[in-house]
Amino acid sequence: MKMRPSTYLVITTLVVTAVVIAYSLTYPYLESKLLPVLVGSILFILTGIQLIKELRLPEDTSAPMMERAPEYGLIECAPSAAWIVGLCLAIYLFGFMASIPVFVIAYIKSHGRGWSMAIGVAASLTAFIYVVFIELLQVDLHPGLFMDFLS
Amino acid sequence: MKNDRSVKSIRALVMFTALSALCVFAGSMAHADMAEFYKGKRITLIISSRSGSSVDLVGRTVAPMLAKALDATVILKNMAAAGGMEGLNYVATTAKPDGLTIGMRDSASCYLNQLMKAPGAQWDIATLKYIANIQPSPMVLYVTPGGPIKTIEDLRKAKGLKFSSISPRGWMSSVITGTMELLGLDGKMVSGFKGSSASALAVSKGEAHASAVEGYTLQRYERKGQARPLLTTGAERDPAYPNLPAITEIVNAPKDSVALFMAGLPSGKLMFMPPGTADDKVAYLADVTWKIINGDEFKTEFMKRVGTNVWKKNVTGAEFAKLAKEMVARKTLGKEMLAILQKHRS
Amino acid sequence: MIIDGLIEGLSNIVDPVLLGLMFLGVLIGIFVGFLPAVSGLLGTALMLPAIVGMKPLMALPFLLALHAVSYTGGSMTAILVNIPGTGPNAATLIDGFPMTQKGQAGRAMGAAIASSSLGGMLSVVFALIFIPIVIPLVRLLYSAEMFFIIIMGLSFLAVLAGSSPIKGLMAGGLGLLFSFVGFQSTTGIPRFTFGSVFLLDQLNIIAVVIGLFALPELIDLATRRKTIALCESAGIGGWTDVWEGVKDVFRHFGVFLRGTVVGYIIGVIPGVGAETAPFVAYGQAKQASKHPEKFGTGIVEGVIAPESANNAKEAGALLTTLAFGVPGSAVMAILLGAFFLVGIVPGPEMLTDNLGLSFTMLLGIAVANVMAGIVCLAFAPFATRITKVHPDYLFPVILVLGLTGAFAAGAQILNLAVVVWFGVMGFFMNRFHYSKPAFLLGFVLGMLFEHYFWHALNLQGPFFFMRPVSLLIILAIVLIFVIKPLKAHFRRASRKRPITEA
Repeated sequence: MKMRPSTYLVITTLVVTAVVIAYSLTYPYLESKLLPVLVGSILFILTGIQLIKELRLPEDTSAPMMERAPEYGLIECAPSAAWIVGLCLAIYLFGFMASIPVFVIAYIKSHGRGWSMAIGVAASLTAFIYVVFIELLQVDLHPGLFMDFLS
Repeated sequence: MKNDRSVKSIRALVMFTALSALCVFAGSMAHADMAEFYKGKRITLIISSRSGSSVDLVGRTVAPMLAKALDATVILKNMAAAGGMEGLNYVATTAKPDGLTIGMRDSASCYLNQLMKAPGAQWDIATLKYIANIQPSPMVLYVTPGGPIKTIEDLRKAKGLKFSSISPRGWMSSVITGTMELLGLDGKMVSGFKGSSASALAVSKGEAHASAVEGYTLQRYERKGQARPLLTTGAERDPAYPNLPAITEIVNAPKDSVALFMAGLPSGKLMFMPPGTADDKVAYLADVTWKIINGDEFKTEFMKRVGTNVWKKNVTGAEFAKLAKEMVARKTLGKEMLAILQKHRS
Repeated sequence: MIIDGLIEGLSNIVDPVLLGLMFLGVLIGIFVGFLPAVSGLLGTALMLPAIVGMKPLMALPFLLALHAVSYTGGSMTAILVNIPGTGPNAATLIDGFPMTQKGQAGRAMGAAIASSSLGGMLSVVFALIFIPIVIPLVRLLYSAEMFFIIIMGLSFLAVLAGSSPIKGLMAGGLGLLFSFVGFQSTTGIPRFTFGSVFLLDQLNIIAVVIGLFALPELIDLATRRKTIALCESAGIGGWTDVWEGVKDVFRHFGVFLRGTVVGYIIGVIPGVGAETAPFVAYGQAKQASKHPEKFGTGIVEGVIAPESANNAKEAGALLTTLAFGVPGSAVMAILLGAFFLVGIVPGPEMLTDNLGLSFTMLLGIAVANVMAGIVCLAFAPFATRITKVHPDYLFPVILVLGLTGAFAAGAQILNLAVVVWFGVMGFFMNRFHYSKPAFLLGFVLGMLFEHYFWHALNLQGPFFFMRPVSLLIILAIVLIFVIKPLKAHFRRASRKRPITEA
């Protein structure tokens, strides 16, 4: 019996599902709790079977055709994930119009590209977002918590 | 002596006239000030409902007329999230009380959500400022056309009735369960239909036996052959259906009956402003809006767009504010309404 | 009378002013569709003020043109960068994006554009033919039937599951659970909201899809630091590639035809949801295919099936929206508002007294699809160049556009958190081979499943399935999922016998 990375995911799912079932049982009326409990239970059973399968059987090497297996480890993916989360946080705090150009320039520069390209891409993308979303689609782009606080 | 008294009364009259003239003058000065204030400003009309809905339609009718009258820009914004509560929450909690934000929503949902403590409702109808309630109207109960139920008597005798309704604690559900309680009907209400037209479709197919909707919408369903109107649930007959009895004509309920309140609840398109908005601004906007919504241009557009030939009385913001305060003062109202809803839902 | 209406519609539609206006609508539609995560919904809502004061004959075909072709634009984004341009394009990326990675972006786009445009046109023909019978048929559908139609959709979970059925069903179950977040439709009880007002509504599908599909892909792209098209040698997909895709539609005409029929039928049924049609079409194509195992690896049938359904559902949806005034999708709800705005009251008389206008709109959809097909085909060879842009530039641009689109979808900043959350989920689902399409199908159908279940039970009682139409649908489900395996079984059995018998 050997724990594989995927097994941790299965165990997490199992725990979350159990919590979901317990949580659903607290809802008033049969109508609001029946299906979450039912679907949760089925999911719990399926996850249980999967867990037993993973713990007992050797790893199936045949990758399904649906998804391509990622070629990188968690550590290698972390920087790009951090960029994404960073942008989301920046947007939350400083708003779209301030975060976008800074993010684009920072990203392109940090990957060793020239200033002209970095500024060019940032400027055109910011202009595009401004024209399309603010002027044409009239979306009130989030101004950012910080900006809200200042005004 | 007599002379003295008349002198006194003349003096009083003069004083009164002067004072009222002063008031009118001050009022018009204030109005002039306000007119100056709104000139060229950017007003946001928050529609607490999705685009294309009936509130949205009325909002889109009123917005350009308001812009013209104020010589300002009126921007329309739909905030329909949280089951249509987003816009109202925004106006009540986040929008600045600078007189430049106006909200709009179905009036009945505004107080029903609050009284029944709907999850997510963050406003207090007692503190909001009101501009006007446009065309408030009660609902009319209707049944499947060509079905076994032809009269109110049939309805009362029927067993296992099924009423279709939209949001579980919304206006339609409140009207339906209030009516069920008053008439002592046997059956249940099935809520969750997506929109009054979906509810009407279920009735017209015979999947549900009955439902309720505003008179002018019902006129549309009736023309389509989707509904047979049966009874006005309001306190008075609906001008769209002068031959249908009002519910007060067939049941004897005490005036403060909760079921009667629920069944007869009218709803209009309520225009409101953030709590704390300066009274002179609210009064000015209410004044300007009142002229618009009672003008011929608005009337024609409204009737054309909702497809009705009936025009009702609008309600002023001040009247609505009074109503709202009264409702909040009835402390147990929400609880009692929930109990009735609970009793008749599936 | 129908002929009169048709003639009136035809004479209306050839008006050069209307054609010009519709062309403008088509351009806007393609553009908003092409923008990641921005759908025709936003475009249509935005045009509402513009149509006030227009004649219905101008305003309505214009809006319809805009909306009906937004999916054609959206398919290109799905194929090129793995972000669906509009919600219903989510099924297209399952095979569309792998084709791009193989350097076949041009071909995939050609196939998507051609099948969506042709499907849109063909469905208008269906709509015209079936006008007299569709309305009475739709009236036969009670909540019970709707419930079984949703079950039929859900049963395609088994098809989308991938190689491990248990993992596939787990993904589908998770999708169902996530669809329960927010107000429960029949009781109004908020579930899994943890006191948050934001979570009271169902999770925004656009945000979910961007997180699930686009984010893991972007991480992969940035980590790999190589262009999207994995084969360096592959051409960037010029005209010949695009044309090859167009021809593919005719090579797989059966797939295209069935996709269109599925799209039309689901469009006609009010309340099944716009996102359902392409998934069912995809599942159905995979189910019927001789080589289902190749689906998901980047084969052209996997692009043709959902895309032919995508535009085809609009002609069907228009008919029922017109007749019943019950909008089948969010966009149709806005369109319905537009009807009122220009003074048209929808109802069955739209198909009797107002037939001229109805036919103008239907023909408008067909014409808009022709226009969209031509515009997109001309644009496609240029668009494919995206796949050759270096990730150092592409990553920030796509990320920004995707996040802005996800925000715009509901104007809610917390949608970004939804994107990140599902991005993490998508990342691990990729790594451990859980089917994301299965998750999405569960998510899309979960709420409807619950809604119709309770309505059927409450309105028709515990024996709601005993209605003839319900039984027919149940029979259909059984046939779909029993006949195929049986046939396969017999084929295997006959293969074992001597060849002479064949």
